[in-house]
Amino acid sequence: MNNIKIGVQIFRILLEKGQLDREEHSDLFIEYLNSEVQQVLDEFEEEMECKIIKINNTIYLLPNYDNSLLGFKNKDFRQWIGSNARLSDVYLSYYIAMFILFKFYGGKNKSPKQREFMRILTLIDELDKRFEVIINKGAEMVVETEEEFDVNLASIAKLWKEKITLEENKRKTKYGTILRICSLLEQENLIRLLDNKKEIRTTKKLDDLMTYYFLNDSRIEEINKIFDIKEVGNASN
Amino acid sequence: MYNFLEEFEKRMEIVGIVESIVNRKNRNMEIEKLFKEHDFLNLVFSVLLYIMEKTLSEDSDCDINHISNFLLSILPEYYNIILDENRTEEISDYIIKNVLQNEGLPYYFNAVDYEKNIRKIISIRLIKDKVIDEDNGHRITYALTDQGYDFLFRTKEVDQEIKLTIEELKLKELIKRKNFKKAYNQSVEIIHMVRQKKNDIQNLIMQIKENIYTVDVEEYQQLINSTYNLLDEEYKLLDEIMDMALKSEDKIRKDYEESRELDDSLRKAQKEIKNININIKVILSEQRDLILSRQNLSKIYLDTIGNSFEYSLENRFDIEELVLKNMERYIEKIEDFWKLVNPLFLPNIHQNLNIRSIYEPQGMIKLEEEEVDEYIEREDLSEDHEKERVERINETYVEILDYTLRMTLNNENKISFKEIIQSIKEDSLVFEKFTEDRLIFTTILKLYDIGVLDLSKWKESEGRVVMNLSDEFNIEYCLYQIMDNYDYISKIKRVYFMKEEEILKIEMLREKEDEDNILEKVEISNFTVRVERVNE
Repeated sequence: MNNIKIGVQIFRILLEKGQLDREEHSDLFIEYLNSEVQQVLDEFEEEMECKIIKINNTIYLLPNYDNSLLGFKNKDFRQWIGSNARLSDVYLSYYIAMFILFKFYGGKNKSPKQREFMRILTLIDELDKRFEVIINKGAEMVVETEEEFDVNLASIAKLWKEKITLEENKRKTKYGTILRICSLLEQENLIRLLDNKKEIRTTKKLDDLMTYYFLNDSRIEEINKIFDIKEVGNASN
Repeated sequence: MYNFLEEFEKRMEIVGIVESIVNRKNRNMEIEKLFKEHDFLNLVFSVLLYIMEKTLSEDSDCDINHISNFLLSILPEYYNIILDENRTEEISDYIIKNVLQNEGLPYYFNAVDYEKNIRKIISIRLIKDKVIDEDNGHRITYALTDQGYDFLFRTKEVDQEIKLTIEELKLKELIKRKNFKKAYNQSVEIIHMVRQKKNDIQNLIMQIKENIYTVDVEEYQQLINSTYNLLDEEYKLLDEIMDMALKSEDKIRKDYEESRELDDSLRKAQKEIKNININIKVILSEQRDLILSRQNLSKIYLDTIGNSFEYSLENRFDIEELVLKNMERYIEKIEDFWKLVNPLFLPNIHQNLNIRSIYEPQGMIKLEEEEVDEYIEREDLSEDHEKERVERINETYVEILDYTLRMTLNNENKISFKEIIQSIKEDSLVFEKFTEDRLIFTTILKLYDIGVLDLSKWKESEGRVVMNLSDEFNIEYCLYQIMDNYDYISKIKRVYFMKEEEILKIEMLREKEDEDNILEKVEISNFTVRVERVNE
């Protein structure tokens, strides 16, 4: 088989499943190690604006952070939350998603992963504390941002605080809000909800990506671009 | 430094373990006050021993149901507590997740290292878990960590490595003295110990595969070396034990041949020797597995450490500082926050290049984009509207499927999509309802996607799935609704949906109040629907 065909085969699987595992496709995995096949995939990476990286025994396809063709656009995120979701709901969902990553991978040791699982009720407690701090210290921040933008952090913190913690089958409770974002993360094969959806555990994919890619210093610049920060700050560990 | 303080930090590990359980924070007093003073601690350590027993002696898994059953069996008799199954499950869950697993967080104990004059941070983790996927979901199983085993052995037995050799020597001596009952128990003990070593290796392999950075090089080397030593010593001793067991058996046989009678005690001894022999065979087989596991461990460790080396030079940023705090600071950048999660998400090719999107409601092209205000609705109101909308759409899906199936049955089991459209056009209300949001078109495309609807198989499948309805077509929900309301479905075995060459062009006129009328045009393939009846 020629290298282009192999490259296309690998790319097709990556496109379909997001990853190629050595156990499942051992032949293609070995072919991937061939530098000529990697050259073909380099072309795909460039043209399709994505990254193909091998982490241990898995090859992953990661859309570039600003790739809206292969990636998950803001529109998709809003659709998931609900067709009539407000801006504050959208913000809260993004924030909770990143907060979950922080609680799992905020470790300062050689491995960033700092916990094995997290109960959803524990996550609610942690978010309560975080938003409480925002509400208490945020008076001056609120005034400053309110003038510029429709939504402000304190109002979002209050929106969270006013939610009821738990009530069966209610989407707008704290529990329901977290469950909704978790089910999206679960669909993306990043976490698993276990114990009757009471407990969050990360998948091997998320462990791999967070340990070997997502938190790398080399991504600081692109994250700063998302927030439109011009000066590159030194936020590394 | 005083000599007696040498390796003091190692002694303190045991204290740290006890402290992690005794001085816990975030206690659930509702559960703990059910128990008399110290009883809850007794129960926690009993559960630890149960996990060890379950995983070692039966060489099997231990999940929360096993632990609950264990509690159900001991709570009434030894603690005078009678609880129902749910409450017992709650206590098991609390002991495992909160007490022994510290809610998923590692527990650290600071011990003084007198030699280096530093505080050594000791990580405490007594049990570990594994998620096992099964047909109907998943199961979490629990086993002791090395630290857990070590701790439990020290509470009763001597250090496990010494213990193993002593066990073998004891077995040898007991057989010599024809104390077969005790000898049999000793052979069982050796099986436990070899299995434990095997478990250690399997667990380390899993740890390496999951995250090499959590593996301590010393831990790896110690395990490899101790396995070598263990095997060397064991082989010689086991040979001797087997030899002695055979000789004892021979002796019993000769006694029998001489006296022509086998009294009860000899018969019992013979049975016990037989069991000892079986156990020794098990030990040898477990040892073979142990050798293979050890080789596997070395290979996986070296491969993984090599792979991970290239990443080890990369520094990591602080996710709280760089992401969370900036999300709080630059809230107005929310429209770009998708870029934060984008690299982690699966390629979204179906969403972006999906033919179905053509049939989704389209906006009218206007000269200028109107500003979309972020209006705030009352939460309850918007939630209710959404729910009503989803219910209405699903009701229409059911009607479309019902209409299609009935038409097919009435048309000698075969009909084209074109004929269905012609039929619904005769009733303007039905036509408007079925074509609203292009529901009939997305439904037929979805059915064509399914290809064959095997109703006989579906009816056989057990239980109903409780579904959270969305505005997507949900075949299961529709079929349940039809089955609940109409009998004709029992006559259908299978339904086939096939595509034809012909392209249909359908126009729909929408009249809007205070707005211009809209003419919508849809081009779609023609399809054929065929029903196979039961006993056809």
